[in-house]
Amino acid sequence: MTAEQWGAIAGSICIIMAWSYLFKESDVYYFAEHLFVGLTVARGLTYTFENQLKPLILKDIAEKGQWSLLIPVVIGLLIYCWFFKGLRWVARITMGFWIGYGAGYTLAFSPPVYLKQVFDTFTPFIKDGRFNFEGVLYFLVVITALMYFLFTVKKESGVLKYGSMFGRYALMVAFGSAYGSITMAYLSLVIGKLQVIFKDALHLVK
Amino acid sequence: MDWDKLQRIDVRWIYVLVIVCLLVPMFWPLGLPITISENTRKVWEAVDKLPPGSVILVSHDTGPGNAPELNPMLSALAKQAFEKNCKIVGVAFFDQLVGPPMFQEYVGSVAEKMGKKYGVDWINLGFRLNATATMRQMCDDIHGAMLGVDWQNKPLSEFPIMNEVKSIKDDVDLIFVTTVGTPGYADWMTYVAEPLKKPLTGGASLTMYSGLQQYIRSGQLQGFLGGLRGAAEYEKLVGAPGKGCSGMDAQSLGHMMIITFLILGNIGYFASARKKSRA
Amino acid sequence: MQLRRQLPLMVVFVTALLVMLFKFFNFGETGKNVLSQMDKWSQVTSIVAFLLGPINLIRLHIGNVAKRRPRWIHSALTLVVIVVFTIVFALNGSNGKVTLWVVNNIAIQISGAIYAMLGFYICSAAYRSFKLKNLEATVLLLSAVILMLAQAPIGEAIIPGISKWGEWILSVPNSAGMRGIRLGAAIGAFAASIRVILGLERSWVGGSTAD
Repeated sequence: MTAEQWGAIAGSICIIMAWSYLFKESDVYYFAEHLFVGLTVARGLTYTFENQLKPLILKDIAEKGQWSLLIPVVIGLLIYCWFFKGLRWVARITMGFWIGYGAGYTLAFSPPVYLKQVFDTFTPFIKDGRFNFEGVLYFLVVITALMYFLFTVKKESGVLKYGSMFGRYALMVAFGSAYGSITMAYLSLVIGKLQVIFKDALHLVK
Repeated sequence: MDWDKLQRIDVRWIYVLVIVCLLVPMFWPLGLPITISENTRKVWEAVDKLPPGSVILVSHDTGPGNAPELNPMLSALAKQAFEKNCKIVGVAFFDQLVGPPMFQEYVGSVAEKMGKKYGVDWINLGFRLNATATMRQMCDDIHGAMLGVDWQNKPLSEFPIMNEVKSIKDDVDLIFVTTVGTPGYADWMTYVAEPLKKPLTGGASLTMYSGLQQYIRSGQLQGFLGGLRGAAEYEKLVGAPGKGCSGMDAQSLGHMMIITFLILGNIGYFASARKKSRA
Repeated sequence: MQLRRQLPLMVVFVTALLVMLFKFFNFGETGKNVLSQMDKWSQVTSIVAFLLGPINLIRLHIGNVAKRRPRWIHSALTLVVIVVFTIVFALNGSNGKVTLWVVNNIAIQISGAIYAMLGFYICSAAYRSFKLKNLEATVLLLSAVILMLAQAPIGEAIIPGISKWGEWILSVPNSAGMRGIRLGAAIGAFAASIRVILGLERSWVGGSTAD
C-alpha cells in the first residue's frame, strides 16, 4: 500500500474517533481532540520558526543589514512580559501598537468600501423608462433594516414603527436564506468526510 | 398515529439517518443536472477574459473544517487558468495547517497533468502571519512581504515566475480568494483590491455566502462561488467534473431530508400543542 | 502607576495617527515609505510574538497535570504530542513528507470531522427546534426552504425554475438585509476605533471605560 492509502485509512480512523462523540462522550473523542491540539501547536511552532522567524533574522536583518527591524523585534518581545506579574503593563505596549495599527487601518481603508455600498443602494426608481421594482425594494429593505437597528429613538408609531416592522420581516428573509446556505455548507462537510472514508480509504464509491 | 411521539425520538437515530441519506446517492448516483448560476458564470468570465500569460494571485484562506467545500474550486481554477496559459501565485492567511498544503495538493495535481512547472507557471508562497500587514506589503513588494522564501523555505529569486511577479500593483491581473472568515475576502477587498482597483473574485464557504451578496451587486466582487455547489458549477463550466460534482447528489438527498425533518418536527409540535390544549 | 496606563494608550494614539496621517495626506515617497515601514514592523512584531499562544497553552496543560485536574491525562497527552511532534517536524522540515502526511491525514481530518459534526446538529435542530411559532418564524422557514431547494439539483427537478427564485432571494432581499446589517456594523466599528484611538476605551489597559 502507498503512503496515500495509509493516509486515507488513518484519516478515516481519525474521523470515526471524532464522530464517536455524536453517539457517546468518550475518551476516544478526547484522545482525538487533544491529538489535534498537540499537532496544531507542533506544526505552528516549526512552521513559524522555519518559514518566518528564520528568514526574518537570517535574511532581512543579518544578510540585508536591515538593523532598524530590531526595533519591532524588541516591541514584539515585550509581549512576553505578560507572563511576569509585575511587568504585565509592559506587554500592553505591544498590544497598543497592534490596536493602534488595526484601528488606524480600519479608519483609513474601510470608508471607500462602505461608501460604494451606500452609493449602490441609491439606484434610480425609473430605469429604461420602466419602474425599477427590484431597485426600489432593495432601497426600502436597506433603509428599513437600518431603521430596525436604530435603538436610540422610540418606534411606537408612524414611519419608524412600520418601517422597522418591514425591516424585521426583510431580515427574516435574509436570515432564512443564511440558514438555507449554512445547512448546505455543513452537509458538504459531512459529505467530504464520508468521501474520505468510503471513497479514498475503502474504495467503495467511485 | 401518535404524532406526539415524534417529539421524543432519540437524536442518535437522526444522526444515523443523516449518514444513510448522504451515503445512498454515493453508491447509486442520481445524476441530476446542475444548473449554472449567474455568480459562478461571472467568476468563470473574470478568468476567461484575462489575456494569456496573466498572473492570478490565489489566496487559499480556508480552515480544516470548510476545506471540502473550497478545495475543489482550486482544481477547477487551475484547469481554467493553465489552459489559458495564465500563471498562479498562491498564498494563505487563514490557517497554516490547511492553506499551503492543500493549495500544493490541488493546484499541483492539475499542474502535473497539464505539464505546468513549479516555479515557472505556478508557485506556493505559503502562510504568513498578520494578514493586513503582509497584504499591504505585497501591494508594492511581494518578495519582501514573503520574507524572500516560498512555502518550502527556498529563495524566491531561484524561481523564474518570481522574477516577473514583483508586486500586486504592477504584476497581478486578478485576485482569487477562497474564504471562510477573517482574514478573507473582506481584507483583500479593503486593503488590496479597492485601493489598487484590481478585480477580485473567488469562492466562499456557504456559511458566509449570503453575507457577501451585496458586494457582488455593487461590483466589488466579480461574482463568487458558493460552497460545494459553486465548486460543482465551476467544475462543470471548465469541463472537469471532480469532487464538487460528485457531492451534489448526496447534497440533494441531504436537503430533502432536512426539509422532511422540518415538516415532521412541526407536525409533532402542533400535534402535542393540540393535545395539551384539549387536556 | 499613571505611566503604566498612559503609555500603552499613547502608543495606540501615535500609531493610529501615523497610519491615518500618511494615508489621508499626500507626503509623496516619504509617506509611502513610512506606511510600508509600519506594515513591516507590524508583521515583524507578530512573528516575534508567535510563541505567546503555545506558551499559554503549555502552561495551562502543565497546570492541569501538576494539580491532577479532571481529565489531566488528556493534558499529559497534549504535552507529549507537542514535544514529540515538534521534534519530528523540526527534523523532517516544517513541510517535509512525514510532516505533511501527519498534518493532512491526522490533524486536518480530526479538525474537519469535529467541525462537520455541525452538519448532524443542524439536522437535529431542524427537527427539534425549528417551529412555526409566529409569522416571523414562518417567513424565515419559507426563505430557508426555497434556498435549500434552489441550491441542490433535486430542487430544480421537483420545481423547475426554483434555482432562479433562490438566486433572486440571495441577490435582492437577502443582499439588502445583509447590507443594512453591515452598514450598521461598520458605523459601530468606526465609532469603536475612534474611541480606542482617543483613549476613551480603556478596559484593555485595566481601566474603566469613559462615556
